[in-house]
Amino acid sequence: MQELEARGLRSVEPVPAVEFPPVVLVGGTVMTATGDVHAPGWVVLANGQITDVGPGEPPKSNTHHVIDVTGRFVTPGLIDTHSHLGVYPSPGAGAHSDGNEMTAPTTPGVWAEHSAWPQDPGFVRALAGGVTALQLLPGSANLVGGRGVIMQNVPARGSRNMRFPGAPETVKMACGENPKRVYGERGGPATRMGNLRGQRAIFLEAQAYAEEWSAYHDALGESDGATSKRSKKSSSGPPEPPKRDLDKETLVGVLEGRILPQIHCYRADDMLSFMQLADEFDFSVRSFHHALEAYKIRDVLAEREVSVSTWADWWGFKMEAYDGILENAALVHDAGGRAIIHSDSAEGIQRLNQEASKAYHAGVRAGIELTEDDALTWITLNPAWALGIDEVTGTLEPGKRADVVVWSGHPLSVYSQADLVFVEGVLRWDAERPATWSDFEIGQGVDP
Amino acid sequence: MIALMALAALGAECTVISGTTAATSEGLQKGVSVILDGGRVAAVGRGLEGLELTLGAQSEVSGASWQGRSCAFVQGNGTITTAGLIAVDSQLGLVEVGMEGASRDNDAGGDAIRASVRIVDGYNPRSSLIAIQRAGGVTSALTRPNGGWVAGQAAHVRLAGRTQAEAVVSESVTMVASLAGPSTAGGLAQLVDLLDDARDYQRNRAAYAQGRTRPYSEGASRADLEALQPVLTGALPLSLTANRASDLEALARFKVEQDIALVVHGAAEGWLVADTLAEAGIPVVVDPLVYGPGSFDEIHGRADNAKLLADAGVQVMFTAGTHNARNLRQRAGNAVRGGLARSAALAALTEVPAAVYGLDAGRLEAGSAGDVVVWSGDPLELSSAPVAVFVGGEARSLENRQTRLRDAYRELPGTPTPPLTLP
Repeated sequence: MQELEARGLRSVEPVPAVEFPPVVLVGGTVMTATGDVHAPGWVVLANGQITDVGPGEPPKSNTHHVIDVTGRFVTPGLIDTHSHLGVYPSPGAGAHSDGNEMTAPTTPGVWAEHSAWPQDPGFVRALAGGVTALQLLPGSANLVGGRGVIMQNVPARGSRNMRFPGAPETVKMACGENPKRVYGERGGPATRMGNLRGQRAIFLEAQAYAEEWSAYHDALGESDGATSKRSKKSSSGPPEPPKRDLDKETLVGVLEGRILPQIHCYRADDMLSFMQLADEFDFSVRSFHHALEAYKIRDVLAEREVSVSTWADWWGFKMEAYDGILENAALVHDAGGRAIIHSDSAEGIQRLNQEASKAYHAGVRAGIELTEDDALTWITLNPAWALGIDEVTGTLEPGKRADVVVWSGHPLSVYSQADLVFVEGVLRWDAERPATWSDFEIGQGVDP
Repeated sequence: MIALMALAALGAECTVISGTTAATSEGLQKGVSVILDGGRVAAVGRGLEGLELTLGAQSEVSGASWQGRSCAFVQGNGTITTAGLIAVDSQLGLVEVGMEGASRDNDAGGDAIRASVRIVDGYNPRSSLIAIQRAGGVTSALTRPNGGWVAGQAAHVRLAGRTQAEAVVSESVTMVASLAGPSTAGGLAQLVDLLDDARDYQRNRAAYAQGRTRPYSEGASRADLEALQPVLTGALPLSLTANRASDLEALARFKVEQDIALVVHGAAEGWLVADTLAEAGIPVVVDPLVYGPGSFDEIHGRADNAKLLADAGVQVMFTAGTHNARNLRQRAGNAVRGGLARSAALAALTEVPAAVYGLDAGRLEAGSAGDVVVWSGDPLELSSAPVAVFVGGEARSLENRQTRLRDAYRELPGTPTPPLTLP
């Protein structure tokens, strides 16, 4: 099944080659998101990777392009686990409202990638905020909204070429108010119990589908003379593969652990119900999104290694957002969980650093033990983990992708901005030379 | 941690904040005392006559008296004291949970013209939002109606008090309207008609009573036409929302032609017509975070909008909505990031709204309202927070529903409490 799926993942657009000399960033405060802060320190970027990081003076080299960042701060590129850029692009337009396939409550077979408009001006603005990777998600109208897609924040003519190389597939699902509000008068679900029934029912179907494939592979093994012992097939030619089903394929990926579930869920009890569903079908939630009440069940979330993608302070816009508190992320972190500050907003994604700062300072004020580097992991390493790309990005360490931001001042200050942003070693943003790559914006500024 | 000494003397008639940096209209004054007395600011300065500071063992200030009376005392070393922030674009006390109609009192319903509605009649001083914003340094707010195309009158409320009588400072500080219909031109034409009706009514009250006036805009009741009279004289500013530069230009013409006071919310492209807005005398309420083409009306929005507007002489204020009006200072900080002077960014949350709407708030000087916030540091910086908040001269609790929820879950399992002990 995976081989067949892979055919749907080929690209027709060539990737332009970009070459730079190796770069060394010298003299700034280097916050690595590993716990190490070098003040001053240096970072070497070459061939798309971080090749070296350290304190004090960098090794001498004649071949490196030296950028003096004295007085500035260097961090990993920021990562947003929850964005609708491209699928609900700017400017808001009915014709571009491509985020919710509100034609049925379960649509696991749709891909956010196929809605994502690479010309959304929001991508460049996110880049100007230091965001180098992001997950684009379908909306939360549906019990299963479809596949998310993990992007690196680079220009491309098609969304496929924005895909973060090697990143896993993800799927968006939703608890609580949204699905029942959208479908309550359109055939259901109309209640939380209806939500859960709908989700359990499709996972039952996915299990059955996985068994069909399993039986097929067993039979195939037998007809190839391999070592399958259980197949009942007789000698009537090679076995037929099951009919492909895009919806079920996505959920089989979840059951097999290949596709990472990203679950929109606010209330503590809704999250517990969903984890019970996940246990029933033997898969793990990778991240609860929004999760305003994660602090109430932070022990359970930490123990089960479920990450928490939340805001610093959004609350009160609906009942399931009524119990939000400023210390949510800090308490999750304190309990040993993985806290993440996400945006879910074309505006918020432009200043994730400020949002992490608010959540950090609220925690510190409440007496929770935290470091600034901890707060940095909420927008770098931890989101990288939630998206399954933490082996290759999310910290400043040799061997990782050169996703790097140079900030004008402390990244947790309201006054700081991203001066330079490198994505896989390529300089994509320079605040001194701001430029958009969105075709929509071309010519809009022409003097009338 | 800042020492809050003797603040336990809640209800003391006077309070002395000593050794703080005061943000006054003359700029930052370092090492001064701020005296609150009789519900107002009594004095701001150094070596104030009538102020006596008590020195402790290490010759640190440990107490104070004012004009012979012992006062509550705030050790203000390292703090910055400002006038309390004013949320000019809120629905505080009118909305509890955004999507739950049963918790909302912001939309009067009925006809599209509701000029006579004083939305403050629905103000709930016990809303959980009030103490939450106050803990973020917001001490008063304009609370605004919406719905219809003339939504009604916004009120000025202090964020304290158990009753409407205690909280409401002014029932009517601005008339909230919108440009109804599919086009700016149509919306303005409707408004011109309505203002013309109100003028006609004013000249012909007797005829109106006898049913001899010409027909007026549909839904404009006698009470609405009366309520519009202070708008016609300029005593009550009209509030409209527009973002596109060309729409702002049209609003500037409308304002001058009608000779009314007008405040514009949005103004995302205001920088393109900043001189026009300044010349027309139109103050703006902008969101420094909304830049980038979020809509077709904001294609030319940019981060230095507030700075460019202020440079042109426009009175600039900020919005952070209702549930997170406490984030006004972050908005102001972002305007500074975009180039606005820090003093102007703070004034946008204090002095400017006071001047635009004629509020008894927003200034820190002898005689000003006792709405005062003592901050742990730079009020616009994310690392700072209020250490003491005074409304009407009284120290107010920084506790709120959110801090109580936090405390309830400080130890897990939280509110599912252990069994009661047997009686």
